[in-house]
Amino acid sequence: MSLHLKKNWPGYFLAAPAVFAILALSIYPLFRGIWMSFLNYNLVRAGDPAFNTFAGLSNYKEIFQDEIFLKAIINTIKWTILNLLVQLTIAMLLALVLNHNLRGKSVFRTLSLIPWAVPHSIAAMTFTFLYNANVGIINIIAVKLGIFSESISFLGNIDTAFWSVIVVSIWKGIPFQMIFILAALQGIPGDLYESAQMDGAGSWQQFWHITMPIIKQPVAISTILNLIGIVSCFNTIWLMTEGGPLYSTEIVYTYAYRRGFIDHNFGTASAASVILFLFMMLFSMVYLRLVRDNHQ
Amino acid sequence: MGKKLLRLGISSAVLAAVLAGCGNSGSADSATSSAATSAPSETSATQEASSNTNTELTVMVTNDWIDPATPAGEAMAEAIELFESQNPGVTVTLQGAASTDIKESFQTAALAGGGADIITTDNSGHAIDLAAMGLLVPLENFTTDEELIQKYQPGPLDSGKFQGKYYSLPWYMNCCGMYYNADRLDELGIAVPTDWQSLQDALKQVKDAGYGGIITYQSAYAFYAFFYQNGCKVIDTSGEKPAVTVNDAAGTEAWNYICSLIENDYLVESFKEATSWDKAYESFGNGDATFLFGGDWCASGIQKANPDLNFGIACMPQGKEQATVLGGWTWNINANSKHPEIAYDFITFMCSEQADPVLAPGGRHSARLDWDIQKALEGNETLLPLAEQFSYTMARPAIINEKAIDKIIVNALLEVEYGQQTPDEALAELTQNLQDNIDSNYN
Repeated sequence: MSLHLKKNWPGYFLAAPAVFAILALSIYPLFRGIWMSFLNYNLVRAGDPAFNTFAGLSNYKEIFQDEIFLKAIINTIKWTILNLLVQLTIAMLLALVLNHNLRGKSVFRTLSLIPWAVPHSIAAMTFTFLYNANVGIINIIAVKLGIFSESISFLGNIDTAFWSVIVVSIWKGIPFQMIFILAALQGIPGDLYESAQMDGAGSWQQFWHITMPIIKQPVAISTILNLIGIVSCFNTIWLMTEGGPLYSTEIVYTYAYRRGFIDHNFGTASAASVILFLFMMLFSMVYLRLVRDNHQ
Repeated sequence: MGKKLLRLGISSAVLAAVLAGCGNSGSADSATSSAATSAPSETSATQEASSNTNTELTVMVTNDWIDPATPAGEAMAEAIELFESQNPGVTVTLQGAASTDIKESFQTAALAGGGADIITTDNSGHAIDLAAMGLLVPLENFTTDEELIQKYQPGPLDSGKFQGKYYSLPWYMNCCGMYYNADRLDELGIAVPTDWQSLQDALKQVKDAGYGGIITYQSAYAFYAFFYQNGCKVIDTSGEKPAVTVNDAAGTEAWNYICSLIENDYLVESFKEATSWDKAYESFGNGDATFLFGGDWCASGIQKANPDLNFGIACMPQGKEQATVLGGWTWNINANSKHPEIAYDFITFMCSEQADPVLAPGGRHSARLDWDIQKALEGNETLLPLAEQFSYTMARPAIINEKAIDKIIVNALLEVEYGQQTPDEALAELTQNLQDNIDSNYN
């Protein structure tokens, strides 16, 4: 046994349970999932001789020939970009406002965190109720104000479902992004702004030349973290529309779930998950690069 | 090195989250092999029967049956007590699950080699999926087909038949009927529709008066009835491999009739979001819809949604023939069960007259042939029209992945509803999609 091990064995010993837990609950499913994407693994064909045999890239071929999967990829990209841009813009504005010395600042800050604290399931149910064609308050008000001639099924129409669901995701995601930006803003020394004002810089110049360069890195890191959450947002979509109507809210995550738990084909479900993983891996690598640059 | 480890750690966590569930079914092959050898030999069955001492049976049921403080839960507890007293040494433990995911809960556990000894499943194809995965014991290990046929209604019994073998013992059954807003029909002077033409006439009058038409749960459930009424099975499962018949002459006619209801806006707007029965009750209860297609369970749901609503119940409107679609639940035995013989004793007991009090609180009907419907409905005669349909009630196609099949049919209806396709185009695509689904699950 090396000197290092001898010296540190109590540490290794204490860390071992956690390491084993991670190996069993994360690393094993990770590799098992990747491996399964290369297998014939349709559970309802468990008696088939080909079951659990190597399938090469056929699962990948199958999903890329599936129009629904291609639609899911487009929806995922649309979902991610829109979520990100709107969340970032609103979070930035909110953070800038809450960074000023307003009366009741702490109350506003606390209130703005509420959407983040609400569980996905509760948020999904609440908004489903708000959107309801019969008793939803949005329809009732819109009809009374004459905006709509009759109630609309927001979640039931292919033109409105995607936008209705994304509103919930944006509403829930803003606080996470905002709190990072606010923390970064609070780290900026006030004398920088005072000096800039003395030099005749306007509000926009101060924001662009002082605020933005300082908060750029923390914002980028929080954005990447947020992105991972956005791409893997399953609960809200599934609880509100199950990817419908006509797959108009289907993202890769819901597609993988459908292939696995409704069609029982875990081979294609794993293949779709691996594709999603590649998306997220890309974001993770960017995140790690940013963390490294930040430390340097 | 540290960075690499950090990268690996984060990447692993991300993929583990994405693949959660996919990688946990690694024991499917072992479950399959255990199912393949699940038929207990006579010797082991005899040994089991003679050694009931300290045998624990676990039974997975929906949450409705768990709470002894509710009438259904209390009746279930009493029935179990009676069974235990008749079988000394056997203890029955209930496990609860939500009705929407009881199959998935059981499936996950059974694929890992465990799971409750017995599971109740919806007769809409759940047992077929589980049987195809090799997770259920065929009933031929305990009884004969003749005995089952003599004892149970054909529809519920056939709902658990896969590749010529019965896997499910039918517990209780229900069927789809037509609920109507009685005050509204009186107000408009409309008689309760009894056939396709009178339904269409009634809907026109209702719509002209500014009211909404039909609401039902957004699934193929109620729409199967129209195909059956026209003599079309949608999918014929009598052969070795299921055959799509939705586009034959009878099927096309039924499809066109359903599409005419859609194209004339006789389905209310809230049908588009009726992804649960609650939303259908709400639409009917608040007067949005004049008709609701659903089973006997809808009566209490509607009453909860609007206790003041005066509604009536009638048989489904007749097409070329009288027909409607089956619902209900069945009992099944886990292929991993260590006590299949005792489990069979228990499910036989639960389907027998001795356990009929369990069905009483919800006004449920046993799927036994000797069940006295009139007696069961004493004091609740409004539900009689639904029960009168039992003799011609048909099960949904006993096919693998019925849930996916249901989705394909609903999507075809929605294509017409949203004006994305004509009825002919939608039917052609529906036929192709059904065929593709069957091809992917059968040799």
